[in-house]
Amino acid sequence: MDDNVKKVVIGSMKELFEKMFFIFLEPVAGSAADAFESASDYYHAAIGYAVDAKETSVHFYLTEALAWRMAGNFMGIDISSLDEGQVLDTLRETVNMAVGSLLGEINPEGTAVLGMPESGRVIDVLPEKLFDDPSFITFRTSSGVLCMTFDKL
Amino acid sequence: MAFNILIADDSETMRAVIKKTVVMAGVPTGEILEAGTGKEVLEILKKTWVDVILSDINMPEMSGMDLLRELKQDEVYANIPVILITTESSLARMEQARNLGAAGYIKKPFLPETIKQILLEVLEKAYAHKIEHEILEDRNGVGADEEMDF
Repeated sequence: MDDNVKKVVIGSMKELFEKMFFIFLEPVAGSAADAFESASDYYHAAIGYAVDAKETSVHFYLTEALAWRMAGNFMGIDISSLDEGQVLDTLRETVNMAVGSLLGEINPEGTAVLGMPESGRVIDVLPEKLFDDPSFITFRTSSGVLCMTFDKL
Repeated sequence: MAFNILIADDSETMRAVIKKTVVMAGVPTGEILEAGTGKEVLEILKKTWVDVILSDINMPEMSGMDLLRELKQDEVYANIPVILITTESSLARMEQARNLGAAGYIKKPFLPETIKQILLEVLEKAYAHKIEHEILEDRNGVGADEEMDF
């Protein structure tokens, strides 16, 4: 990924997380594997989109603790009052907002079509395998790690 | 004057966040109704009068744009102001929304103040005559009471 685009992605993600979830993202310079936390379960959220007939998708992988904290902060309620459906809904809305605002910044003149977002627990892939991917953009938070990647299933 | 507000978004959590924001903004609200799709909006409108609709664009079954198009073609619903609250912030999309008759456009992620500001602007513009009429009626009412006291 082009360095300038990566900068825009990081800026846009930081803005989104601070504005909507009151969570500060700290970009990790090295490999995602360095930030991997084996003790945690992970959630996955993804959305497909098309810009000028070119289709791609964005995927998020994040720790369970971070996902629940995002949902709690987003809705303004204590984590103990949440159910998993609300957490998964928050994650779908997050990838939707992330890609929507990113496309608005990277390609404001373009016509993008967003697909319907999806979310769930990571159960079919070993997270440590996923985190080997050098294309990941990784963030640390006080509730665990968040990784994002483009075009990966 | 209290306004009936309809929030349309397929995300239940986003509806809850917008609802909380509207209430905290101090907008005089009557009923706050919720819909998960554009089709649900049309069902609600058949039963309840709504003063303003806050709608997402990216919804299953019927998108916010399709909903807006349908409302503007209906002689009863055409005057209900629709504010789009959406992640899609491309100039082309905003232009399309304006051409279809959207009364406002709020980009997600948003600050609560943004929703308050745009919602109040749209309501004042759409219902200025009613608000003015009510103020006059109130004044007349107060005047009549005062006269009776004498």
